[in-house]
Amino acid sequence: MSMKWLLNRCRRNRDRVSLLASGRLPEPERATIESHLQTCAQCQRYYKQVSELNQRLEEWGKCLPRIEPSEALGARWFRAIEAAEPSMHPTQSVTGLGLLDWWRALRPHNRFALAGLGTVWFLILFFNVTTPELPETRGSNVALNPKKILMVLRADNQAFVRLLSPYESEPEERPQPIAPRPRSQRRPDSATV
Amino acid sequence: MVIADDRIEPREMPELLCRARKGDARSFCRLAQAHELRLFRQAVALCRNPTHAEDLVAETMVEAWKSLSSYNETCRFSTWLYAILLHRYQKSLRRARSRPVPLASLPSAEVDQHLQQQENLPASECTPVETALQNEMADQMRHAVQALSEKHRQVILLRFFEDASLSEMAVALNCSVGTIKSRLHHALEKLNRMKITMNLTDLGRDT
Repeated sequence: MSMKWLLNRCRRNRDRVSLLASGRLPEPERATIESHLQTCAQCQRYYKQVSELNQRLEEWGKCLPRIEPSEALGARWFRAIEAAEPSMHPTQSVTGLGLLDWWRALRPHNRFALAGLGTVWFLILFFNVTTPELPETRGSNVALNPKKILMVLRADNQAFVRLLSPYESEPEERPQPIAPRPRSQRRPDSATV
Repeated sequence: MVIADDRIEPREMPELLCRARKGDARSFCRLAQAHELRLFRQAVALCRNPTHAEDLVAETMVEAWKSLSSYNETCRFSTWLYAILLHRYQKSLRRARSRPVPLASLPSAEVDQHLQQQENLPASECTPVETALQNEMADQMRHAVQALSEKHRQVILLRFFEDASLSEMAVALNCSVGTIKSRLHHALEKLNRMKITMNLTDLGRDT
């Protein structure tokens, strides 16, 4: 959708102008378009063209060919209807009638959406059923006693802390800073002796 | 099965429809017979071939019987039948495109016969020149509408042959009202671009 189209109000109104000309514009929108038509010469021209076309189409639709069908036509489709199997008539089918009617009454895009959703649910269910169960965990046999659970958690926590810092219990000896010796304790230089 | 009276009272219709829904073929035939003539004429206007039109009407009636449960009375029964007719017509067109047409079944002879039948009809108020002009206009319209895409053609035919409202068209074609509005607008715009109006006006001036 280009910017030009967005800014051109007449182009945006064109569909409603043609619906007005064909007598199918809903009542609430009619006043807006009629007032626009009074001010816009371009839309007025378009409205006139479509009105003329509509008039021709109306005339064409009204003058149906005055031709009679053959007498055999009625008998032909009566026979075909009688011959149609009762099971083909939906009201006479037995199972899933309500569901089938509901499905038929749906619009195509709704049908596609529902079919897609159904497929996703089916796949989820399928994979849940077919995936093998995981082996039992270590804690699954522990009774649900809060004290025991706390004890186990504490033990686990301590083990975890030990695992992370193995030297925490034996702190490393820090190297002592080397202090300068007093002048008196210094050994005399061999060169001077 | 012979059904003598092809006219039904409006108050009779719900009862017939109810009985037909329960599987009463006779009630359905009575109901559908009231629309047979109009449906046949609409089919002739579409395909210009009375034999083909009869086939279409018969197929439409059987199809309507089979899918009667899908008719939920939100549009007129005649509109619903006409939508089925249009669907069958499109299907027959597609079938015809994929198969070679035998020479004997070409519509020219049938159209001539039809026109001859029309001329023999009494109480025609138009002069021969006016009738010829009307036929010419109808032909031009038919060719222009045939040139439209299937979706646009359906909307135009429902609007002008059935005088269907937007909601009725939406129900008959199983789509939303917004889609119908858009299709109607585009179909009219395409026809307008074809300048049928101008040609027809010129034709009228010449005579």
